[in-house]
Amino acid sequence: MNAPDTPLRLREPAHQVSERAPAYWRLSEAISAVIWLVLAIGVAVTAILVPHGFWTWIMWVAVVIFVLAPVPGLTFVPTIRFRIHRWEVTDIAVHVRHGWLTVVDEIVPLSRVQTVDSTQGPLMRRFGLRTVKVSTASSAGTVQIACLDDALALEVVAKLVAITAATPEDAT
Amino acid sequence: MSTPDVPEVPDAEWQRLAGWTAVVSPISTLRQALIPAVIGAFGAGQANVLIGLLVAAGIAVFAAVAGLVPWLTTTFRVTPTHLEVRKGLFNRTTLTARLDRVRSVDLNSTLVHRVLGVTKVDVGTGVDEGQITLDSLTKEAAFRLRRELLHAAPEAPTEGVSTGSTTGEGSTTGGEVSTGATAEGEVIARLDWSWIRYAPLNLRNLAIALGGLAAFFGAFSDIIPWERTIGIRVQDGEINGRPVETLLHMLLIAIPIAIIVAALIWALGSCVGYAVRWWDLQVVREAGREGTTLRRSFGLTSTRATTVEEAKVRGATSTVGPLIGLAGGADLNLLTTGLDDNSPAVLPTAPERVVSEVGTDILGEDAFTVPLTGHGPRPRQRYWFRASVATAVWTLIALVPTVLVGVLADTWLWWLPVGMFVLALVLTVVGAELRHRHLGHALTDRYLVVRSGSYTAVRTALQTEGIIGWRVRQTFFDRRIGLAQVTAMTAASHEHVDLPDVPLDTAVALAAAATPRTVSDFLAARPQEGS
Repeated sequence: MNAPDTPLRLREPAHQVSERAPAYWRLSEAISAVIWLVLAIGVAVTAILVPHGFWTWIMWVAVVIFVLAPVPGLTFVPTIRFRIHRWEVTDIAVHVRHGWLTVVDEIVPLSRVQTVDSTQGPLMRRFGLRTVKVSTASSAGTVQIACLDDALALEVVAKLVAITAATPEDAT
Repeated sequence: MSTPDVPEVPDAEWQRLAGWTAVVSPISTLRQALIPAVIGAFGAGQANVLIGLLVAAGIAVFAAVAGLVPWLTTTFRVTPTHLEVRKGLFNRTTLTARLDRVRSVDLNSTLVHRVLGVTKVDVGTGVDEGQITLDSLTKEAAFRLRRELLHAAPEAPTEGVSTGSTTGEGSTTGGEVSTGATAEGEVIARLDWSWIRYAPLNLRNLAIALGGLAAFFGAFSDIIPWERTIGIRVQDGEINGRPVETLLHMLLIAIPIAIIVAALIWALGSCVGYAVRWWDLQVVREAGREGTTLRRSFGLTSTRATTVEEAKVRGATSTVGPLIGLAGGADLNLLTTGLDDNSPAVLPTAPERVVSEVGTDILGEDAFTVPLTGHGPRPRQRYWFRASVATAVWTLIALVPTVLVGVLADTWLWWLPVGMFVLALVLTVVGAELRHRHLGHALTDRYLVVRSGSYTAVRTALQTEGIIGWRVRQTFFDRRIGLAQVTAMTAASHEHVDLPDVPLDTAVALAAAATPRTVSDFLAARPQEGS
């Protein structure tokens, strides 16, 4: 295949995810930050209690890493992710873009969709969020539209189900 | 054809498995239980021989009884629209498969099956866990079932009912027709004994053989009486009463001899293995219910005949391994759904010319010799960079023992890091360059063709019709140099085909050209950024 005359990109999918998504991401990050903090305290205590040696500074480095590891996730990462995360459902295909350091574009034609379902964890319910999951006959082909408004997510599921039910192919 | 069906037809009678199943399945369960039985009997037998024998006998009886269950409980029938199988002792289950969803029939007979004239049948329906297994049927019944599932000509619904009833009862006619159909098939490939030259070059089989050998000696090293068999006795730092130095001198002669002998054994053994496995290989094309079917049959002791609907073959891969590639050989595998192995080998390792001819015949297009578009200079820079990092890491790792020994014993093993540096440099740089040269893609009328890999080059031709989604991934570093990692999702084979390190423009254009309907909605011109 020849190089195209006009260089192409995949355009941004039309819709952003729910505005409450960053807050949700921050909160779930905060919960895991607590676990990291407990680990850090554990290592720090061990470093103080055990006899000192060359391992002592390694342990302190580990403590610093454990404390700092959740900081990006608590501060700027959710903002960037919110800017990048986008989704769009046309009559023909689903297009999802997500990630922040690694950006992933996923496109699945609706004629090949096998199941559509939605999930909502307890924390997501507090935020009124819901994730739509679209799976195909390929185990590599599951696409998620993460963190939509609850009502919108259900609407999207209904729309996807209606469209996929109308296409009679056997999806492989 | 299925929806406005006549009320259930009482035509096709429920059929049983072959009577010999009562013998075959205990044997196969026994074979699975053999190792635990031997270990159990051995363990108990050390305490008391009688108990050991009793344990062994108990396991054998249990296996035999358990093996009888399938024959007693399994029945099946073919209605005009469905294959139905009832099985299970406590949990009675009925498996039903629509005939138009049946994509493959796999007949598998071990030596035991063959002696008794029966075969195991696996019916694939294209659903992931959808293999329906009947173990075992008589050869004639299996052929008849295969014909009914894949080769019975499509008929009008009314007619279908009547033929359904005749095939259900008139077993002999069905058998005759099936053998007739086999004779009509067009042979598109046959084993050529000169291909056996590739057998010893198969490094993967060598690794498997060595692994098996190691596992064997690992498991039984306690039992083998080493002293008596090899005659080596280690005592007081002396071996067989001689000082260790003499033995080391002997080793200098013994090791090369051992290597040569091992190589000869490997060459002979791999050729014998190849011959036994691929004996009488034939790939035959026949007319089926919907379009044509392909049947690959081979084997000397245990035979296998796999039939797939050709329309459901989503593509093929040709794999060129390191040594095999130097000898001009390649492997041909199909991309299918619904088999237990969804990338079945069509041929054993064969000359590249044969692989591309047979591949072209099956795919209907010459996807294996079309020129590929490379991915430009950027992947190469990345691979060379990775190669130098890997070399540095390996050299540093090799430095560790040198420094340790140097500090502790004051002997500097300078050759260790130097040797490692040279070795790692050569291997990684050659690997990087090969990886770069192998990268490529093309789009033919119906196929997306992709090649990647370093020492082993894999060329995959995937029907664009079989692409059920795209994933375009860009890591942070990818975005800096404008590359992307592209995955074409598919239901066949490994369920994804990867196109690594492709320039983003090319990736998007390729996806758009391969599946215009899906992708074209989401295209945009490149943002103007001056670069």
